[in-house]
Amino acid sequence: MLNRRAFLRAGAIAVGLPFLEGLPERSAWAADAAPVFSLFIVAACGVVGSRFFPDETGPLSVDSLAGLTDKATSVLAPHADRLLFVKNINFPMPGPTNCGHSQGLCQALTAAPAGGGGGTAYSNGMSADMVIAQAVNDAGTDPLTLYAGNRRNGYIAERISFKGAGAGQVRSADDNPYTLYSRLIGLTSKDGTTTPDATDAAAALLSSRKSVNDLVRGELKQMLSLSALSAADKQRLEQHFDSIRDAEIKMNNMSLACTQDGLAVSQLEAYKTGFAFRMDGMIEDVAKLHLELVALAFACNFNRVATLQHGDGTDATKYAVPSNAGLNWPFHHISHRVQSDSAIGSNQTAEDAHAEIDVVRMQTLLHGLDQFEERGLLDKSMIMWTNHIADGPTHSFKNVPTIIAGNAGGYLKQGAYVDAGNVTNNRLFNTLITAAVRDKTDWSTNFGDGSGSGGIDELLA
Amino acid sequence: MRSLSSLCATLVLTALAACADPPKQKTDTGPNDQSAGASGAAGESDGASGATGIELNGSPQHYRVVRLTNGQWAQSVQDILHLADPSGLEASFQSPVAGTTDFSNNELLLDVNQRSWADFQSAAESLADQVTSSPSALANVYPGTDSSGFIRTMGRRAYRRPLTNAETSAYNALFKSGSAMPGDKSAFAKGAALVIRALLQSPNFLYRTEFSPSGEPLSGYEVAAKLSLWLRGTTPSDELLDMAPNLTTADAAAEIASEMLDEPAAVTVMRQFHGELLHFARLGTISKVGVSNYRSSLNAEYEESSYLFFDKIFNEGLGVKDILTSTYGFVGPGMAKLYGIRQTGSGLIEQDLGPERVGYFSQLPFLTLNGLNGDPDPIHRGASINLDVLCASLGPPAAALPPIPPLEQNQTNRQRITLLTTGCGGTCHHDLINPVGFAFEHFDGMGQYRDTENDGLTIDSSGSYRFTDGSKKFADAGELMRAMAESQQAHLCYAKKLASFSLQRDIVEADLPLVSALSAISRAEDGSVKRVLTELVKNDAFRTHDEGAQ
Repeated sequence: MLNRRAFLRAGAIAVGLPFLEGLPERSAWAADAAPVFSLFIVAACGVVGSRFFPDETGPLSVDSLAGLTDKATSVLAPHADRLLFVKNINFPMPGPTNCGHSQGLCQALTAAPAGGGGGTAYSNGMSADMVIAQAVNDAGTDPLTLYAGNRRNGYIAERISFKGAGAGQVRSADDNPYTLYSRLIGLTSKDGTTTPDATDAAAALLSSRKSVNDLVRGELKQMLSLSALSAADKQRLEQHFDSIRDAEIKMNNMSLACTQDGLAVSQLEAYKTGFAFRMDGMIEDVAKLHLELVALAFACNFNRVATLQHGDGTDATKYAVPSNAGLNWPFHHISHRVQSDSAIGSNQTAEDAHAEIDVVRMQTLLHGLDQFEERGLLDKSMIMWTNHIADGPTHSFKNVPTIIAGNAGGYLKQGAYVDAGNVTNNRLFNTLITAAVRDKTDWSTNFGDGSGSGGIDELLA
Repeated sequence: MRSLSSLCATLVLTALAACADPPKQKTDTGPNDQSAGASGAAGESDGASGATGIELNGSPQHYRVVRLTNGQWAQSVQDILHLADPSGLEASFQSPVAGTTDFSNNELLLDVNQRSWADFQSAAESLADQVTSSPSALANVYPGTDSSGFIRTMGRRAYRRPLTNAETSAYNALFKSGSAMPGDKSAFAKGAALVIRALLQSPNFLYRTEFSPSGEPLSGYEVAAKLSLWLRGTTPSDELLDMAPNLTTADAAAEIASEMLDEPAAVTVMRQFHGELLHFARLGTISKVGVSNYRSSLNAEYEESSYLFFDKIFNEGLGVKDILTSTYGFVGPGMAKLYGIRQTGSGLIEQDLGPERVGYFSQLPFLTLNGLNGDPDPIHRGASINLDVLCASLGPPAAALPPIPPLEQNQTNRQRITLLTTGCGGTCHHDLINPVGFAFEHFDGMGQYRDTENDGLTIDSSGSYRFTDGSKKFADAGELMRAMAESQQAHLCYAKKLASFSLQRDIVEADLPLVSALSAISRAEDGSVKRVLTELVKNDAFRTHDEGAQ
């Protein structure tokens, strides 16, 4: 029997491991319903509002957007007809009561006011990615949770995906793209062929895994029967129990490009050892690789939901943009317009640098959209890009920039810049969750804890 | 004009403090919250303990099942399987979310979810294949070829206790199933491989458990596992398991703990403790703009210098008093120039840093980290020591803040910060932060000693700090450090942090008897860290399962 790593490496494996770790046969979707894939990106430290979106709402076209060269989002022009820009989306909290970065992160995907502050800030609700994953992924299949940035370089990494309310509920993220890559490489091949040996090995591996899983489940049941356990212990063991899956071989029938084409394989392999992915200046490269891998994971039906936190809440990346050449400040200080993590200044050069960083980040998003398009995913996905605050100096939770790419299977409006009407993001997520799980009957359209209820009509196709 | 509240907030918690390290707050999860188990039985208070003045407001869950840390897992599998080298597999494991708890080994972070389950499954399969790849490789794990002996031996190592009859039967059946599987290996190797895979995925291996009734002593095996995983970072050795049934008394547990504390593995464990306690990882991220004598290569020296200082504290039977008052430090080539010390050799060498450098916080790493370019940063210095060393309650962090104004002519840094903070009232805690920060005004942003500042202005580093056991005046950082070393507060704080790391949970008001007992040991004449740890092992808080406040 091949060991798992040898199995992974055995050449030309097209259906072996991918489907060992792919979605089990029980899917939330009806057999004839095409799935919607959801990616939520939360970037750091706000944008320069006056230099980000077009000045006026209205239709977006390739030419019109490309012409707005003083706006960061103009770099997305090649996909203008697949984009929905949204203004006047607010977080539930009217403004920061302490560290706006951590409180913003905790609200960005939960639409619920944050608790605590700083590094120990917590959410007061489950995040949208988890809600969607529970509906469209098989039980126990959590969303992909990714992070771009140097964990040592900031204080508030991994604060967007939450299992629920309260301390200890934030979900850990993978910062090294190689981690996801290594889990995906068995799914794909360059020619789409499968060797009989690989198939036999997969069957043998599955059989043995079933034996082990049965034993482990039995032990967990035995533990769960102990009267000494607290409710928290039982919840922990039940989560473990639910995480065990008898993986199975399941052919990819998504009609999507589940191949390694388009992956920066040599770059990914270089991250196998060491911590180069955490080096200052690597954040955009790492974010691009994450986006490539999410597109691949979706195309291979490995998972249907993902999040990417793009930068730490107090991101210390020193971006090599022209206006930062003289300052050499970390991004967090640039966003504050003063060389301080807490104080607020008015340095114009820093504002210019921030605007240039916005452009860089939009180029990264563009790279991701290209990947989704090449894998035929844009009409089957929704990719939401937002920020944990509206802008740097104010740390405002009002009018947080929101970009949605992809129409979620024809559900969402495309090619437009719309005004959501000064609503809290619970209504945004009511719309997006509905788009993702719309064949489900038990979705209550009452997500989060903001003002009002229901979705946002302006976002609908 | 900026509001007073914003002004105050500047002084409460700037950079580090504003967006990091705020006090934990009570969590209200509501009646329908599925995660209620992970939020707040405790944590009613969001301030300092009334009895001690230090913060005791965590959210412990007192789990009976706490997953091995990635490090414990790695060392355990190496020892269970007698691997010559570390597998390195844990490098790709899901890592705990940093910063949400005082220490990364906190029980709240150690569960098994779908991602980590896949990690453990994959690693178990890889390791099983590796150690059964040849007869000689397998013989290194277990010298015999009898399945019952293999299961008994390996099961005891993995489960950290003997297997029950039912467990043995289940593994016999699994071995038989594995032996019959197709493949080129011997039947014994195939059976062994499947058993190893199961053992390493078993909840009895992945979780350290405490199943004894509440308030009653843990079993000897549970004590052995708790001690070994904590102080050795690995599963109990065969020899320790032989002794385990007798580890039910405080003295027996303490005796074993004392032996472990003298082993090299304990130094590694304590490196993690002190590194997370004082955030040594941040030393690697120091960045200065426009400072001519700063080199990024210094960061690595600062980090290693800090670890070596605390290694010495631990190894040589020293304690909190020495942390605060030792005038010795470890100096690398780059640091030597800044200290003004002549040094030969390329490594870090222990040196007497002189009478102005009293304790770790008067050394370059701390002072440089908490300096804004070339200028001292009394707010960060003061806030860090208040939070990490004195466990002072500084309240919630602040929102957006105004910048510190430029230094004016004939104005000292102290005067500038004092002016900024004057009138902000009690909420900004400048009464706690400023005195501590100002005590270090003789050290600039690079940690270099200076007699004057701003074209010859005299530096005033004197002050008074309101310790929980009374106010004390000091002339400079050295006197402040000595006052801290004598205070109850610093010892209580260290005891609290050490208990949190050792028990792998948040510490709350109900733990006050434990914290006070440990603090008393620490404050005594020979209050070494090792003595404090030994006392901790004797305490019921370590040797029984504490359900916490219900």
